[in-house]
Amino acid sequence: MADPATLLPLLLLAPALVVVAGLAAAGGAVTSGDRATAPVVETLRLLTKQRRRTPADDPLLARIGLTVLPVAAVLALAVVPVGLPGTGAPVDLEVGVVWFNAMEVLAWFAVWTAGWGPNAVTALVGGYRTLPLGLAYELPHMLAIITPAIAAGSLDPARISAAQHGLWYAVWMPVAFLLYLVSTAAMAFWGPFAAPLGRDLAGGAGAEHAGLDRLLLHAGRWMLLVAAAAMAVPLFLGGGAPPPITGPDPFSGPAWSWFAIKLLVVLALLLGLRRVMPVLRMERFATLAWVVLIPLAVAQALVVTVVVLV
Amino acid sequence: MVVSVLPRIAARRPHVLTIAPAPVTDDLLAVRLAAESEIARRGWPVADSPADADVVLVAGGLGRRMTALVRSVWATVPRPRVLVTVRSAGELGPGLDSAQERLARGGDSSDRDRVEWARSADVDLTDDNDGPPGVIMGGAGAPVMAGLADDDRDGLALDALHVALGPVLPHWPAALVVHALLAGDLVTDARAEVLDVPGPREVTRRRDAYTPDHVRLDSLVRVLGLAGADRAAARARALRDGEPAPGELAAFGHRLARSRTLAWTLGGIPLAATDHVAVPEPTVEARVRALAAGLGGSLAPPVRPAPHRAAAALVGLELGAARLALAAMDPDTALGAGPVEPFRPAERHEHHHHEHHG
Repeated sequence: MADPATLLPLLLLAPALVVVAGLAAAGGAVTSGDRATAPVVETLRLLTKQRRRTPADDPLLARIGLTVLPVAAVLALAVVPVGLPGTGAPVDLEVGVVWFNAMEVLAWFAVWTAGWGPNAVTALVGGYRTLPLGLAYELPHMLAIITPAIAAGSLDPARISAAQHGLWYAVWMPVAFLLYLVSTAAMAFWGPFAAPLGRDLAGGAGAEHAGLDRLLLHAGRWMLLVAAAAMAVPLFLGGGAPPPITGPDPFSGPAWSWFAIKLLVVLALLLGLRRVMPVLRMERFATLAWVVLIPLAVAQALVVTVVVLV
Repeated sequence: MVVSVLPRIAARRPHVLTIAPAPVTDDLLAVRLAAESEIARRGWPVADSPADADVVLVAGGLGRRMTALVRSVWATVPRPRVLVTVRSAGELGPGLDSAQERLARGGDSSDRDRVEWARSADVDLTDDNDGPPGVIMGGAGAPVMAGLADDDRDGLALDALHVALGPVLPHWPAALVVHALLAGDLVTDARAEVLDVPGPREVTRRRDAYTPDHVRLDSLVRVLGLAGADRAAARARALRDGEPAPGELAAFGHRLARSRTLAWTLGGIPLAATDHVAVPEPTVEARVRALAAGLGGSLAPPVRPAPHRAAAALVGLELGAARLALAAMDPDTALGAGPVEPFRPAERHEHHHHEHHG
C-alpha cells in the first residue's frame, strides 16, 4: 500500500465515478424526454439551494446516511477490475465479490437513515420501503453474483473475468445475468424500483431534503447504479477482454476501452428497463421476487454447480 | 461574475409546486389545467414536495384556509425561491416568465415575500387563522399526535399517527385534505375535508367546456403519474390539453387497457373496503381499465365520488396503494367536504367509531 503507484487509481476513482454517473444521468434524462444537460443544471441548482430542516429532526443521522451513499458506491467500485494495468482493479482483493456486496448493502442503511432523520411521515414511510425492497431483491442478487463465482471457482472478480476466455457467462448463465441486471436497478433504488423515493410519497426518503443533501441522495444513487453496472462486466461479460468472436488475432485494444464499451451496453440495458416498466409497488415486487426470481436464481446456481462438479 | 452566472443557469430548469383551489367554477379548473400544460410545455419539472420547489405557483384565487396553507408551505420552501399567483390562464405565461427572471436574480427576498403576499392573498393577513393549524403534507410543520393503534395487520400495536395528507402532494385532488390515522404505513381511518369548500354541495358544470374524455384523461394523468408510468402520463396529458382526433384517443385507451405491466403493478387494490361504494369498479385496476376503454367513445362521463366517500374507501390500504386508489377514484373536490374537527388525543375512541361527514 505504501507504493504511490497503487494509491493513484484509488484517488482518481471517485472523480471518475462522478463523471460516468453524470453521463449515465444524462442518458437517463434523454430517455425520459429531457435535455442531456439536465443533470448539470440540476447539480448547479441544488448547489445554490439552501439546505433545509424540519421540526424535531435529526439532521446528523440523515446526513450520515446521505454521505454514506456516494462513499459506498466508490468503495464498491474499488474492487471492480476496470481494465487497469496488472489485475485490473484499483484494489486487488481476493474476496472482492463479498466486499462488493457488503458495500452495496450500505445503501439500505443510507436510505433508511435519510428517511428517518427528518421526522416526517412521507420520508419515514419511504425509508421503510427499503426493507421490503431489500428483502425482495437481495437474495436473487446474491445468488446471481455467486453463480459466476461458482463457475470460476473464485471470489476474486479478476479471476472470474479471466475464467471467461472462451465463453461469456452472460451466454452460459443468462438467467443469472438478467437477474443481476434487475437486482442492480433495485439495489440502487432506481427506475422501476424507486418506490423508497416514490412520487406517491412526495419523494419518499428524499421528500424533506433540499440543496446539498438532495444532491448527495440523487448523485449517490446514480453512482451506485454505475458501480453495480460496472461489476456486471467482469462477472458476466468477460471483463476487459475483447469479445470471443474476434478470434485469436483480434483488434485487442487496451482493456479499459473494452470495459468502457461493455459498461455502456449494460447501462443502456438498464435505461431501457426504465422505459418499459412503471414503478413497482413493493408488495408486487416482493411477490414476484419470492415466487419467481428466487426459484429461478436457485435453479440457475444449481445447474451451474452440477456442470462444474461433473 | 461566476456568482451571477450560477443562479442564471440553475434557474433554467426551475421545479414548480402548483397549489390550486377546489375547482368550484369552470374557470378555476381551467387555470389548473392550463398551468399543468404550460409547465410541461416549458419542460420544467413538477416539484415532488416543498423541499424540491423553486417556484410556488398559486393557480387561482384562494380562500382563507388555502391562503393560510400556502403561507405555511411557503415558509418551508428553501431559498432561492419565488412565489407567483395567477388568476387566469392568460396570466400564466407572463407570470412564469417573471418567476424565472426573479429566480435568476436570486429569488424573492423576505421584503419581496411580503409584497407578493399582500398582492396574492384574498384576505387580510393580519387576521391570524383561528381554524386548525395549517396542514402540510407529511406532518412536518403540523404537530403529529402519536397514540397506539389497536388493530394493526400483524396483530402488533404500532404507533398510530394522526396526519393530514394533502393538499400539497403530487397528483393529489385540489384543496383536498384527508385526515388519516396511520398505523405504520397502513391507513386505519380517513376523513375528507375540502379547504374553503364545506360540503356536501351541489355543483353545475358547463357540459360543453369539458367532455367526458377530458375527465377520463385528467384522472389517468394522475394515476399514471403516481404509478411512475411517465411516458404514458405525458401522453395522456398531451391528449387532454390538445385537440386529438377520436381515433388517437381510442388507440391510446386501447393500448393502456391492454398494458400488462400497468395492470400487474396496479393489481390487488380494492376500491370497496367499506360499505361506502364510491365508484362502480371494484378495484383500481378495473377502474383504470374502464377509464382507458371509455376514451374516444360516446359513454357517459365516469362516476366521480364525493370526497368523503373516496376517503372512506381508503381505510385498510397501505399508503402507496391508498394514493393510487384516490387518484383512480378522482373525487370531485368541487362537491366539498368537511370541515373536520382537528384531532384531540382524549377523543381518540370517539373518532374510531364516529363517521363525520359534515
